[in-house]
Amino acid sequence: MSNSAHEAAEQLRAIRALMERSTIYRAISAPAAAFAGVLSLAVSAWMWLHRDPQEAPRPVVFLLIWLGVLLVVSTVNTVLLYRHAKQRGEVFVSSGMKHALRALLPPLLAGFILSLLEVNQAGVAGRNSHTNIAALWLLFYGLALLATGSFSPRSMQALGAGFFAFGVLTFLPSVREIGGQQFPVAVIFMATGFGLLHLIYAAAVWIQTRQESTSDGA
Amino acid sequence: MIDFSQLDKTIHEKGRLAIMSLLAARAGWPFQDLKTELKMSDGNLITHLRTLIKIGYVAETREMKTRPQTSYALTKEGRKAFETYIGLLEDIVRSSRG
Repeated sequence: MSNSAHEAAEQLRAIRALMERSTIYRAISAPAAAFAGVLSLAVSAWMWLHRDPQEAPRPVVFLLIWLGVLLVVSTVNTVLLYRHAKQRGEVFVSSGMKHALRALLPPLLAGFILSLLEVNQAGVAGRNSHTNIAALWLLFYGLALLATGSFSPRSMQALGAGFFAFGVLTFLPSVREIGGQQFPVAVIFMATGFGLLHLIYAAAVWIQTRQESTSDGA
Repeated sequence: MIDFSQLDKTIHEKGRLAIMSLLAARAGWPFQDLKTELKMSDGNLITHLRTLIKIGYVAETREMKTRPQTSYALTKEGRKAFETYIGLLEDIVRSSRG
């Protein structure tokens, strides 16, 4: 390739990178998703061991435990996004991040408020509402990810669609009937959604990144 | 033979090319967002934007929100010039591959 062609190719690559950076934003890094998956499975496994009705945590404790998981994962994700931005010489609080937060926060907040109301109802009526809390978290997390669809990569849109579909499924009476007891079903919901779906997403992004780096190096 | 002399000199400058690339990717960039994304000083960014506005490639919109905000977007002419510029770069790469 001649010098001018090489320069032109470099120029095109720089333009493409700049345009992608401003239009595509990955709000959840693959390592953070893998961490979220593993932590969710670990927490679910611990809850499964305490699935006996006498040992099962109350709905409010169930909600607080998962809120703790969300805070830990969010912190790890923020640190990883910060490091990634610094490594690439990009700004951390970019316009992409602002867009992502504006899209993510309303559905997440709505899901959280509804699950708080569910816990409150459970306290008043003495009702076992673990499955409703799990279903609300799955559905609204899926909605939050789908809300970033206009500027997120396809893998994140697929993750959002997965959570949304699974969230809807968890509300179906026929699905609830299969489960029987409420608490173990809620644990299975959380393990499948926040555990498995995150791990599948992390693996898909990792494979895609490897393929891209191989083809770039070729 | 296509070469760099045929490229639009206004766009070809590194800073202005970066501005044009961002504006081509998404319409309506507030000044602060452009500044943050491109890590340019106020003076440098204003100078480049003025050049692009003067030639008719970029349009400026002033809005009064909680505080005054100036946004920038490509004009029809600017988009066409940017597409021509990209097309020429692609031609240069293609012609070298024969």
